[in-house]
Parts: sequence; C-alpha cells; structure tokens
Amino acid sequence: MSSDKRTRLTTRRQFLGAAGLGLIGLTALGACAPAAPPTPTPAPKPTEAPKPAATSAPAVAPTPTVAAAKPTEAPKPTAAPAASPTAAAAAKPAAGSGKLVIWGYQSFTPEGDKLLGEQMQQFGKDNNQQVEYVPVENAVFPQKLAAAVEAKAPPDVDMFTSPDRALYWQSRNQLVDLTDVWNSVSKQAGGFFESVLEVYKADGKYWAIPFETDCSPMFTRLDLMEKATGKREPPKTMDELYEVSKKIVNPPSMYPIGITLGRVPDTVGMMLNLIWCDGGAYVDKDGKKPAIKSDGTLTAVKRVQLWWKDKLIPPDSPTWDDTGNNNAYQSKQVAFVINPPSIYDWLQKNDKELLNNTTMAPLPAGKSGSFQGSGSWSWSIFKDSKNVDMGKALITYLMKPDNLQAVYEKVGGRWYPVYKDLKSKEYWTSRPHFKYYPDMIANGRAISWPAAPGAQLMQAIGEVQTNNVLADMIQGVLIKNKTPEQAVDEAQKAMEDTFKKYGLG
Amino acid sequence: MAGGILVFLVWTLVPVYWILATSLKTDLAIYREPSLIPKQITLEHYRRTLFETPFLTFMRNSVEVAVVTTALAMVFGTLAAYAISRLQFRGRQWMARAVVITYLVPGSLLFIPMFQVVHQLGLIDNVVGLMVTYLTFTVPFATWMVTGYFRNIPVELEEAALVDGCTRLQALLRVVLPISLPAMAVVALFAFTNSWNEFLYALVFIGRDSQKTLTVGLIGLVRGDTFPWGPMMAASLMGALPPILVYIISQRWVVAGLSAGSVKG
Repeated sequence: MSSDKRTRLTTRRQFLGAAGLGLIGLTALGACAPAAPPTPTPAPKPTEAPKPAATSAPAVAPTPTVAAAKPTEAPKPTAAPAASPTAAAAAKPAAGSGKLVIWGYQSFTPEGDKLLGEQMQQFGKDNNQQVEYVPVENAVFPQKLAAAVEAKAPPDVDMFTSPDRALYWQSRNQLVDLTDVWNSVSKQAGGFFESVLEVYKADGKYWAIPFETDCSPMFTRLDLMEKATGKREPPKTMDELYEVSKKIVNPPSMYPIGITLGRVPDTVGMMLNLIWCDGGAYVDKDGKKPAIKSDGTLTAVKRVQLWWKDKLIPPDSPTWDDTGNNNAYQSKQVAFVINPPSIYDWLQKNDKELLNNTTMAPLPAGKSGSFQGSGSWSWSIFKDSKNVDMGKALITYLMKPDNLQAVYEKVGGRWYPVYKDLKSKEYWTSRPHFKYYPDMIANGRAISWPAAPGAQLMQAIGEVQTNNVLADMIQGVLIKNKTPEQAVDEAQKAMEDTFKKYGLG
Repeated sequence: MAGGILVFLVWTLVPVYWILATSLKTDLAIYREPSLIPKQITLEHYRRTLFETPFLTFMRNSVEVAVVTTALAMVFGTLAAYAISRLQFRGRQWMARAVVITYLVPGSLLFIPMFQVVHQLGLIDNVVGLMVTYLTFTVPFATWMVTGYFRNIPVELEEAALVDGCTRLQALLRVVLPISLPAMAVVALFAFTNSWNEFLYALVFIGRDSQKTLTVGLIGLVRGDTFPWGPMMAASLMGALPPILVYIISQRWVVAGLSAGSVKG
C-alpha cells in the first residue's frame, strides 16, 4: 500500500514537471508564431522618445518655434506626397527616438485614410521621426481609447469627432493644452469658420484643433420635386415639405421623408435640427438649465407625428441605424433625407443620374427659421504622450491648408474645410451640390445653442446625446403611443438628471 | 418531421444564400433589386476583396491565431482536465469550479484589464497577443469539457497501464487520449470556432491591418455610415470557408463527442 502510494506520488511529480515543461515550450512556440512581424511594436511609446524641444517645459508654455518648425520647410506633400509610403517608412528615425502614434477615426474613404497616413509619414521623414497612423473602426473607437487610457498607453495624437468628446477627456485631465498650436494655425487661409471658434475652449485654453467642418443638409430628389411642383428646387418651408411629400408618397415603394428614427446619432441630430427650426433648444440662454420642454420642441414632435400618421416616413424607420437613411436614399425609396454627404460620395461613384437629380439643401424653415448644426472633427494630444512637441508639430503640419484640401478631396466631400478661404477652391466651386454649404457651415449652430459652449455644458449635452434622449422622446410618441407633451416632459426630466451630475440645472 | 427539417434548412440556409446572391450583384443592384436571383452576375466584389483589400492578410492571421490557440488550448486543457479528474490534491474541487466560473466571465468586462496585461507583455498590435488572450476562454472550456469526458473513462484502464510500467504521462498519452478522440475533436472545433469568431479583444488590441484578424478586418471595410455590402458579403462568404471545412472534416468525431457520457455503460 505504502509502496503504491510512493509510486503515485512520484508519477504525479513527474506529471506536473512534464506539464510545466510543456507549458513553457508551448508558450515559447506561441511567441514565435509566424504572424509576429519582424519588428513588432509592442510598446507604443518607448520612454527614450525624442524631445524635439524642452519636453520638460510646461505644455502650456507657448512653443511657436517648435510648432512651426520643420514642417514649414519640408517638401510640401500637397496634392499628393512626393515620397511614397514605402520610402517614407524606410526613413531612419534618430537614434533613441520613439514612435509617434496617431489614432484616427476611419475617414469615409480608404483613399482619405491613405493620404492622411502618407502626409504623416512625410512629416516623419522630414523630422527624422518614426510615425504610425492607425485608422480605427468608428464604431469601437471610444472603447478602444478608454482601454488604452486606462492602461496608460493612449496614442500620442488622437482624433475626435465632436467637441464634447475632446472636452470629456480634457475634464479628466488627459489632454495637453494646445492653445499655442491654435494660435499658430487658426488664422491661416482666412481663418477658421466661426462655428468652431469657441467649442474647443475650456478654462480659457484650447484642447483640440479642428481640421474639418461638417453639417447634415437635406438631400433632395429634384426630379421628384419637379414632378410634384414643376420646379427643380428643394422645399423652403416645413409646410411645403409636408405638402409636396403628400404628392410624392406612393407606398410601399416611396415614403418620401426618409428620416431616421432609431436610437442612433442620426436621429438625435435630425431631431435637434427640427427642434431648432421650430424655435426650441437643448438649454436656456445661460446654459445652466435644460430647456427641451418648450413650445418649439412640442411643435417639432407634433410635426414628425403628423408625418408618421400620414405615412410619409418609411414604417421601418424606427429600426434604422445610421446607415438606414443612406440605404433608403440610395435605393430611391425616399425623396428627402437629412444626412452628412456620405451619400454624395456613393452617388458620385455609383449613380451619376441620381446625383444629377439631387441637391444638398438647407433644412426647410420651421416656425422659427432654417437652422442646422455644424460639427467638426479635431486633433488632440494626450498628456501621457512622450512626444508632445513632436505631436504639436505634426498637427501644425497637417493643418497646412494645402494638406487639408488634398485630404478633403480624397474623402469625397464628407469633410468640408475648416478654413474659410478653402471654400473657394475649385473642388468646391465646381460642385453645385455644395453651393449651400458655406452658409450652412457659417451659420451652423453648436449643440449648446443658444448658450455659449462650456466644458461642463458640452459634456452634459454630450451625455444627453449618447443616451439618445431625443430619440427616446420621438419613439415614445410614435411607438409607445405617448402624447407629445408626455414625451417632452420625460425628455426634460432625463436631461435634468444628467445635468445634475455635472453641477448644472 | 421532414417538414420541420425543411423549415430549419430554409431558416438556416436562406441567409447564407442571401449573402451569396448579394456578393454576386453589382453595387447598384444591391440597392435597387431586392431579388433572390441576381439579374446580372458579377465577380467584381470578390476581385476587389481579394486584390484591393488586405483580406488575405486578415485570413492568414485568423488561421494562425485559431490554429495556435486551438493547439495550445487542447494541450493545456487536457493536462488540466487530467489533473482535475484523476489526481488527488487540495483545492481540486475549487479549481474545477473556478475553471467554469472563469469561462463564464464575459469579455466585455475583461477587455480593459486584459488590455493592461497585454500591453505590459508588449503584445498590443500583435497577433501573438490575441493567441495569449484567447487562451483565457479556450483553456477553461477545454478543461471543463475534457474533465467531464475523462470522468467517464474507467480508471481501471489507467491502473492497468500503471501496473504494466507506464508513468502517469504515458498512461494519459497512450491509453486515455486515444479513446478520448471524440472529446478532443469537440474541444478543437469549439476552440477553433471561438477563436475564429472572436471580435472584441481583436478589435481593442489590434490596430494595424497587418495584424488584424478577419472579424475585425471585415468591420474595417465599413466607412462611417456607408456599408460596402458587396465586398463585405464576398469576404464573409470566403471567411466562413475554413470553419466549414473544419466542421466537415471533424463531423464524425464531433457527433460522438457531443453524445459522450449521455449513456453510461
């Protein structure tokens, strides 16, 4: 018995030993997996990163010399960078230099991402700096960024798709003050459009640099307008839109008003635009209190309710995501959609005939007028970056008007210039579809309107947007049979709860 | 019975057919012709997917990750299962339960801590990081599955081998494993499929196209609110082929493995 037990003990040890050895061997095998690149880049930012200027200097200190340093002298990759990506990548970084990592949202075309990456490589080559541009899938960017920040491994330079996202990270003390870069780039080419001037400011400093503007015009089928009214012109008022839609409607193949009603950003943006047109807004003038409960909001909600009851909106619209209205317009199932110009790019590539029968018009005027939001995408630098000055120099380089315009042209019109003078470039003037754009951008409202954008306010509204409060409001009326008054009351309550978290309300 | 099978077949195969039909339509027809049979067939989406996107790189990465993860999961899972089912040591039951609990923790809770671990290992943006990460859910599954199977194998078989001079490891390799092939096949299949389909970790840990797996590469084809349906459908169809092949090859053992232990002899 005891001998048997001894035998068992011995074999167990042998077993565990063998298992341990196997484990080590297999781990090594895994580490040698062929997919590993020849020079893997595990650590995004080695500590011995180059410091083009005094990195120890406070980030707030203006460093115009750095910001405007080499890129200005660099060969200009305007329409297309001179160096091929391969050549650029081959450029040897200075000894001991670290990689400058940039994360961007995917633009709306692969060509746009490619050119942006090439411009960055060109910058890297000119500055003997290793640069890596990572276009991240849009849907998961926030999660990926949150994980990276938590792990203290955020990218050096990061793209944001709205001011509230930038201010969110600023409020968590994660961003570098970019006032010096702002001062050096904001006056170029006629200066920034007014709509971006205040939205990136908090505590008197700028935390992101906008590189494009955008808005959501109303795509309008001019051929159907002509058939219904005899004129190839978009409807000028909401009442006109309603009347003409009643003439165009032809279920099930045509529900003219293709607005998105799902719990998605398109719905939120569209509802806010309609509310503005009827005189409502998210907040009061001081930006202290939610003011969604208003006659203007009620009018807008009742308007959509009327469209819905009259079957002018596609019945599956409450299930749409952000692609729903694109699909509906591109498949000719609707006559009007409110959307950024990603549809324009698709039409250019796939359906010239529909493109010729389309215009991108301002929203029809409601009781209060015709208003829409104007957004912008921007660059920021994370505080944990070891390459702050190089990051600033890169942003300054990317903000060169010629560089920007080259990228805009590759993004198929989805990004409109942030600089006023660029609107006169032949690319824009030769495209009649963009004829309303300068006015729409110039008069575009920030989501905080009528209040001035402030860090807390922008974050509070940002959360309201993320929580789809306006989408829930309209779905409450259309799907859950609430009265417009009930739904608006609930939206007000939801906003007040959110605002309290930010010390507002 | 036959009617039920027919309904199930239609339920299962129509989406696949729809993917195939969409992948063969022109861009315009995808939006304008909601028909089951494409009026005009084109292979353009396949050409674009194969030659204008890094699809083949994504595919290679997926194969590498899935194969390596499956192999490692089987080795570790088998050894762990053997220890739990055969060896007597303190905490054995606790470990057995912990394995199941580990398997049940959702990835959405783990991805931030896992990011920190993978970052510390210097494996961000590297498929090896995915291989290491995927072991966190494939090994517990393999262990749990194989433990159940081993418990149904008469211990006398090993004891006979030990009496004949085998060590524990030899008994495992020469006696237990050969009669556990069905369980091994199931474990391999599930590990392969889970690794092949995994999305969240791959999405968060990988940024460069050269390291992306198919699931993440596929979503990367989407541009904002514009879906390139044709190339996405073509890529989905081609990307589904490896798991289908694995299923076809291992079908016989899988059926036996899934029913293992259902009837005790």
